[in-house]
Amino acid sequence: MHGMTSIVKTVARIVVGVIFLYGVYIITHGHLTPGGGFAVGAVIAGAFILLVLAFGSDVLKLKVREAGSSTFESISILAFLLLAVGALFIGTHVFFQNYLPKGKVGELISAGVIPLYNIAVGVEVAAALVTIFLALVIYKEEVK
Amino acid sequence: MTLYILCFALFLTGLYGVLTKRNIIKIVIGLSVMEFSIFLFLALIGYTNNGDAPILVNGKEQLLFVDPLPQAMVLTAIVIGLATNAMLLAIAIRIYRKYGTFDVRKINQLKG
Amino acid sequence: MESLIVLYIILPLGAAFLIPLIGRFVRFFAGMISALVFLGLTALSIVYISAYHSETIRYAVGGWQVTNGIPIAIYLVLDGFSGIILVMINLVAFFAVVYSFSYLQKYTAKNNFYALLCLMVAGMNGVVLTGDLFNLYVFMEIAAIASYALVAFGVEKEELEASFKYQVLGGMASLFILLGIALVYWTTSTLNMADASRILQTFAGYRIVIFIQLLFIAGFGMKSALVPFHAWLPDAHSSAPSPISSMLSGVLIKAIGIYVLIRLFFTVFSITYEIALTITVLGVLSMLIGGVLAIGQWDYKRLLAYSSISQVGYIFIGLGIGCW
Repeated sequence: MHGMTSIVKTVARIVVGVIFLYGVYIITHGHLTPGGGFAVGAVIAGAFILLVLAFGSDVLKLKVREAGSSTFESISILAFLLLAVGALFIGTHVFFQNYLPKGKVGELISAGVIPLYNIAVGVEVAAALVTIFLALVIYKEEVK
Repeated sequence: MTLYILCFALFLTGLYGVLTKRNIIKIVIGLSVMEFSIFLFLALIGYTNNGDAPILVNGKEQLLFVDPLPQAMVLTAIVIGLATNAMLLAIAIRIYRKYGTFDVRKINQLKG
Repeated sequence: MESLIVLYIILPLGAAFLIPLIGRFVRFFAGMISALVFLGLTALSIVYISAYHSETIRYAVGGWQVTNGIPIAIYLVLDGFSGIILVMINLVAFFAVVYSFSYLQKYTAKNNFYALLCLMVAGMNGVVLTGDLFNLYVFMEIAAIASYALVAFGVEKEELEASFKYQVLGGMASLFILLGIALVYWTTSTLNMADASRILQTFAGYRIVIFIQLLFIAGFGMKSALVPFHAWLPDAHSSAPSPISSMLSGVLIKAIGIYVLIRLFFTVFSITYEIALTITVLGVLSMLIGGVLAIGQWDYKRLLAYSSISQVGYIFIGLGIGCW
């Protein structure tokens, strides 16, 4: 798949960093403002997909199996499960309990385990969407 | 009340699309329209009159909030709908490679 | 002993996501760990049936207690009926995994097969154990999407067509169920099953309750291959790989379709004469049409699929008669 014109490539180079930073901001403030893991995973996946669309898959030399993003997805779900199971051993021994100290309402480091869950879910949704996109693009290449 | 009836009319439009269209991609789009109508219905259920957005902000006293539970349900259901659409489209692409056509009336190997 | 009930969801889910990571390096990892997980869960279910056979276990995930008289936690509930279905699911899954050691020699992506099978069993365990309506929808979708991918596993022409038909009908069934859950929330403003049953008794003869019951019969009838909605089962059953055929016709349509209908109609809604009559009539139609259409088949697996439709009709007749 060829890339696009040089105007698109230059603008994509500048804009991708801003999109990624915007996504990270909404994930980490997921317990204070609207947002959270699900919606931001789509935004971060959009940053990666923009790169692939603007530069073309010839330049990036995509391999036949999309191994990297699939590994990220498995690791982040296992991290989520480990955090939830860790609640069985600390504190009141109930699954999925909120066991880290909760600070005051409105601060960034507060609300216990919820920011960590947000990060795990955001990484997982972004990795899943990038895996789906790469699977469809690579399938088109290998049949031709 | 008319808002709920319009949501149901959108649901029936999507159902008409799934039942009568012959192209596979149009069937997938009809299924998507049905999904979106239910999300809209769920988000409209939780509205209370003169309610505010359900976020706690320091220094502002507000006693009446819009119900946040249907909003959480709609977020989860959107992600589930995304997975369903991704599966449908991946299978549709492979069907095109094997059969050479998108027409539902010609994809009938399994009979009986 | 009571807090081991969460293992039914954690173990298959953890195994399903550990298999793509480690199965790339260690050779027989995928099959071994799935067989171990299902054997362990079967043993745990047999212990639960024999030790707790007269009381129900209620486990609040997250530990949130009842505040202002409103239950706000998500509950996992295990009673006698759930225990029997859990034994059935995990035992059949264990036998399917053992059979598939030699059957999968002709497919190439073996790790994906075992990961999807573990996801499907995690979804079914969640449906059987949950006590909350929206949680039921999420777990049902996990099991259903994993089964769409498993039916189309060897990508030949017929398998793709069967999987597409299954997906469109299954997707519409899920949307009917979601609309029913939204209407239940609108009427009772709670999602907990026990609480909703208490509030719905004050709405006894209203028309919206009848509409919700009909939507649930349509949605779950599509999932369990009842007669006006049975068109996907012969194609999906005969094109899937054989371990998946046994899981699909033997466990999935019963755990997702029939078990949930029994839970909803006997616990949440109090069942009335007209709904019981509708269920009995649909069951009789299934029994007759499934049996008659099975006579003219030349393919063994399609014959067994039509026989499954007929057996589901028997179960619905028993369900409908039990409240006259």
